[in-house]
Amino acid sequence: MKTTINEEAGKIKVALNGELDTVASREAEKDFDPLMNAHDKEIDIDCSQLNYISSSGLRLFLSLLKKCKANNSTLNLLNMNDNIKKVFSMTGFSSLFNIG
Amino acid sequence: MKRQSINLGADGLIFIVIAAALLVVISSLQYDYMRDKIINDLETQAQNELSAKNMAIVNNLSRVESAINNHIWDVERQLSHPDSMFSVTRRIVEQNPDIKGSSVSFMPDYYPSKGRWFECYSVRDSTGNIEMMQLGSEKHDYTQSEFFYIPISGDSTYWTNPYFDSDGAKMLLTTFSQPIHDRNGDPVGVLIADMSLEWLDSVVNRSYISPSTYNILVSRTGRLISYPRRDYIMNRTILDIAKETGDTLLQGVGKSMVSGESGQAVIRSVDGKKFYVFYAPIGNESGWSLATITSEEEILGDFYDLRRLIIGLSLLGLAILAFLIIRSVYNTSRLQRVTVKQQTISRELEIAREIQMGMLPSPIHLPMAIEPFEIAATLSPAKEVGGDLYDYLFRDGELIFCIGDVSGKGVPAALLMSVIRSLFRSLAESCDSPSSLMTSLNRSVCTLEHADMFSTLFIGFMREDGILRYCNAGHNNPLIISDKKVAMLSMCPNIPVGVLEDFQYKGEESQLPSDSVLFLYTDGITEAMDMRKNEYGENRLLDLVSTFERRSGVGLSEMVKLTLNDVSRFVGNAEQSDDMTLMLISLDRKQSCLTIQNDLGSIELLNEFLKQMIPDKELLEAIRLPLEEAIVNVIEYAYAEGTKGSITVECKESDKEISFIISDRGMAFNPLEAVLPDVTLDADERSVGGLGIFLVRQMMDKVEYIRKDGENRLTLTKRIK
Repeated sequence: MKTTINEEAGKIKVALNGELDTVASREAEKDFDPLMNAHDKEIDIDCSQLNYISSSGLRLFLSLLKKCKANNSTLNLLNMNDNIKKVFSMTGFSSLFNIG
Repeated sequence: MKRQSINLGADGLIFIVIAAALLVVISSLQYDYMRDKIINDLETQAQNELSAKNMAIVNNLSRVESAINNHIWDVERQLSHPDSMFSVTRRIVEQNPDIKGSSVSFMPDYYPSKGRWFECYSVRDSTGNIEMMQLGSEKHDYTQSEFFYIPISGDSTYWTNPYFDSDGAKMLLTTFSQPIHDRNGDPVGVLIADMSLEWLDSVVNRSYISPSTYNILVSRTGRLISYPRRDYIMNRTILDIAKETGDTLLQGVGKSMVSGESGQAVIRSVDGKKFYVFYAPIGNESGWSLATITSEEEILGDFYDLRRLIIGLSLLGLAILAFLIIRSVYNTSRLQRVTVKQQTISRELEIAREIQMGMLPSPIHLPMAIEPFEIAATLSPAKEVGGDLYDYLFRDGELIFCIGDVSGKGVPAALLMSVIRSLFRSLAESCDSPSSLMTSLNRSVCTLEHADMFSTLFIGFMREDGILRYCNAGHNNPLIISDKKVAMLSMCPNIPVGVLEDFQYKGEESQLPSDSVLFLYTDGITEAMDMRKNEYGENRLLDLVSTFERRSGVGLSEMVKLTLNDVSRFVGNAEQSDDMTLMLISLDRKQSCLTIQNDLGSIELLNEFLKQMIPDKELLEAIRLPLEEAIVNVIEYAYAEGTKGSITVECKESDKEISFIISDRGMAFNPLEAVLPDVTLDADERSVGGLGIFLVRQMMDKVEYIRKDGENRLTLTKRIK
């Protein structure tokens, strides 16, 4: 999966392109490093091009969320498709995240 | 047939050989007989001629003998008057034209007054006048001559050897001499007559036997008196001629003749020619012998010619006969060859048939499985080379197949069948759809010289997920057998291949139910006829096929057999008039199975597998996540850290549900006993574990686990519509 990170006017815009299966999630950890260390930032992750998420992917988001909370950053998950939304809701993750 | 002609030839030859042998024997006998007869004739003729000539010679000689004998008295009477002797001799010469000269020759000093020698001689000169003279003198001592001393000493008459006249005329003479006696009976002289032998030629050398027959007259010493070569006369003897030629036979003859014998012989000349010699002595005291010599060639010449003619004609006759026999043998063998040739042609047709059959994908009749497809096909050919065809190949996960029937029968149909098959094979590599393949194939066939023949053809591209893309060109509808139901695959008809070059063929698509069998056939099946010309028919086929129970494990080859048996039972003894082709294809996704290693990279293979197994996108998405989670669980926990292990994923599908059985031989682990996460907790409280199994249980309808025989078996089932 490809992670594109842009900083624009104080917001960090992240675009995810591809699938977050178990292997991809492991690899994406490094890509998420800058986000994990972002303080006082608003992080918008555009999930329109995210086609799939596994439990590893969920775990990645969860750890990012925890880190953001610790760093006083806001995490927004935007434009998720229905399937991803379903997974989030099934696992109760939809209540944990800002989903837009 | 073969045996007959050989016999004819052999018999014919034997016949000719026997005929030739008989001919040779008969003609030899005939020849010998005739030859002997001719020779006998010759003998008789020769003997006759010898006798006749003999007599003529004797007559002539005896005239002289008589002349002398008659005048002996005259001489003896006038012994005291020597001068009167002249007139005696004159008289002798006068009276005998044969006698050239005559003389009375007295012993030396008989008449002292006359001197030592006294020879009264009369001779006829060239003009015919008779001269008288006294010949005796020192120079001419007649007492040394044979005509004098031999008769005197032998006291008998004597013929001298012939001799040439000394007076230049070169006349051959001989002298007859008779002794003269006085009153006391003592010889006192001789009375002789010289006879010319001119007449010999005409007597001796005329032969009636044959033109070149000649005679030889030899003297008592063998000297030649008469001979065809005048220069030999008196110069050669018969013996030295014989010696010259080295002919011992001739020598023998010579000796016999000189001995006064008569007989016959066969001699050879210098150049090897055969001559028949007949000889006999002259019947008087001359001691001469006469032989007649005839060349065999002359006698037998005509005979030989005749013989040659007869042999020639016979051989010609035999040759003609032989020619006729050979010709009939040749004709028979040519007929044989034609027969053989016909046999060869039909044998070649058989071979062509075999080749044709061999070109079809093999094995015929046995099911072929190219996972997940199973194919059983059979082509039951009619007697003649025919035009049914079928073929299949596997490309890019699709089974590409065809079945068809070329119009007509025989070699042209077979050729077109081969062409279509080749085109199908090569176009299948590049064409993306059945319709494009059909269109290209049709165009190629139409551009070829195909004698206005056409072919039905059905082309199908079957995917592993059961989607069948197909295109029909005039072929009969295939049947779909599923679950005790038989349905006809609906098709838009399209025209057969080979009719319109630019025809654009339309293709179609259908989803085959899983566990179904696609039953393709040619009209050789439905149009198979019994003895009464009833057709097997479509209905019968449908009835039969609907009895096939796929579920109960009736295999494809079993179905083929049942179909063929039913048709053949219907057809009975009637001859099969058309090729019968069956092709059965089943797509079995039931037994699909994936084996992977316990590393995360295998997830990719899992995804591929699932894509194959589940064509429905929605269903695929619903299955992908739980499967991934389940597998990842096994990968991470089943085997000890660092240990390699394999994991099997088996997919089973039915109408109602789809199941995945994940099995491994790792540590016993029942995910169902795992503690589920509490999803109500908030982020801080949420733990990261347990999510996977949670998702599995959420998204699958049934999750079952057993541990059996050292194996973990986790079965995930989802209901499908």
